[in-house]
Amino acid sequence: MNGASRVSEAELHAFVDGQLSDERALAVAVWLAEHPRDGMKVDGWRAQNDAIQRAFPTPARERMTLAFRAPESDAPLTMPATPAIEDYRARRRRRHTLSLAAAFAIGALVAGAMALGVRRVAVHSASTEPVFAEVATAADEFARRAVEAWQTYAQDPLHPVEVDASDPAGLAKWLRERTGLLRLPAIPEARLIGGRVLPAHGENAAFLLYRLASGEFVALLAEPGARNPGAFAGAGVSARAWSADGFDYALAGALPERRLESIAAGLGRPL
Amino acid sequence: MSEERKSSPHSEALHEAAPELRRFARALVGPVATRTADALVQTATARIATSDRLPGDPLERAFGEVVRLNRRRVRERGRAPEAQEGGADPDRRDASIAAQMSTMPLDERETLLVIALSGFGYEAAGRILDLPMSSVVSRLMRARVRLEGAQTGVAPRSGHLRVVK
Repeated sequence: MNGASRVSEAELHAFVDGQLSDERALAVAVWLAEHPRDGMKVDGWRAQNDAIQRAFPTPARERMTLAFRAPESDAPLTMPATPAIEDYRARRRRRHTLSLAAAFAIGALVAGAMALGVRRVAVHSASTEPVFAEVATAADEFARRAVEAWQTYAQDPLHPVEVDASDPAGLAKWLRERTGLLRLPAIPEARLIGGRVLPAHGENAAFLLYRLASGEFVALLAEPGARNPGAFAGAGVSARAWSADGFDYALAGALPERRLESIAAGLGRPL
Repeated sequence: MSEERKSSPHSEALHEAAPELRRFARALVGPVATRTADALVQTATARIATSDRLPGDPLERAFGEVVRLNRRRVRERGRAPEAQEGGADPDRRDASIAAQMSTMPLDERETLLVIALSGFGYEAAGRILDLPMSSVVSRLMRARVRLEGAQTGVAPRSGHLRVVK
């Protein structure tokens, strides 16, 4: 049976690094369920990879990002998105998803092997649905908070912001000192009203409120993190989240989804 | 001058990837030589950004350039002295990994970092390190065995010592 086909040492490494085809990865997962010694090796290498990731943190970006400009500047708002960097990101995402999928597959196999026998379960565990659900939640939760912040502040008729944008440089400095946000992102055809500082899991988040030429308010929530794209919609208010340069961003507003999507894309949210 | 460069797709890609590139270079040269590492990155990206017409992924070429520059640096200086100075890090376990990595032979360290730290696949790693895939895999395997040995206190050169019970 294919589950018991021999697995080489090199294949075990390739499994850890997400280098196997889906079928081969599944075969290795089956093998590992039957060979706990190899399973321990694989776990050990994964722990090594994690320790290496932790031991060498990504240095902070020192120059300003091309994605955002100061509100008073005329420079076009562009996000550098070249095929090369997109490929690179896609590779990393794929690798990450695969290793999550593999981890899930192993878990399901070990549990399943006891109850049902390895062969039957292998088919069922091929589903990756729970993996994607899990990946989506953290970013969606962030998008949900942006919706809530919009509901609380954007509709306040008297004090929607703590500090208004009459002095953009002062506002930028105030937020930078509290949240680390280097630049106030600019939205074409929108006026920056001002900002707030909000609590965010022990850190500070920047809340920026804009008024579109058409009159609606949109809010941008920015806090340090890397949760990547997510979305949330409820009670007529929607949010789109993305990550760039060590910050999570979520754009929220009571706008048609397409409109919100295009403003978020203009700010650098990957399509 | 520099305006022109800004607009080239290569330099945009490299700008985006700069933190990852610096992370890799810092890990490669050792814990206390961050300035050396940043200088390697600067030289590498400057070279890649001005050679738009060469084929290949500019990112891989930038990583490859860092690897080559570092190999030359190590060759010229003999064994890099910075590696020995790894200071006290608040996180013991991770610090010890960093220390173990810095005493690992260069060919194993660069292979492990390209794959485990920077997330490249084996084929891309082969292009970056200028090695056939089989060498990439065997160096990776040696690096992991060495780390395992260091963590469990088994000397890396003692072959296939295994705990049986």
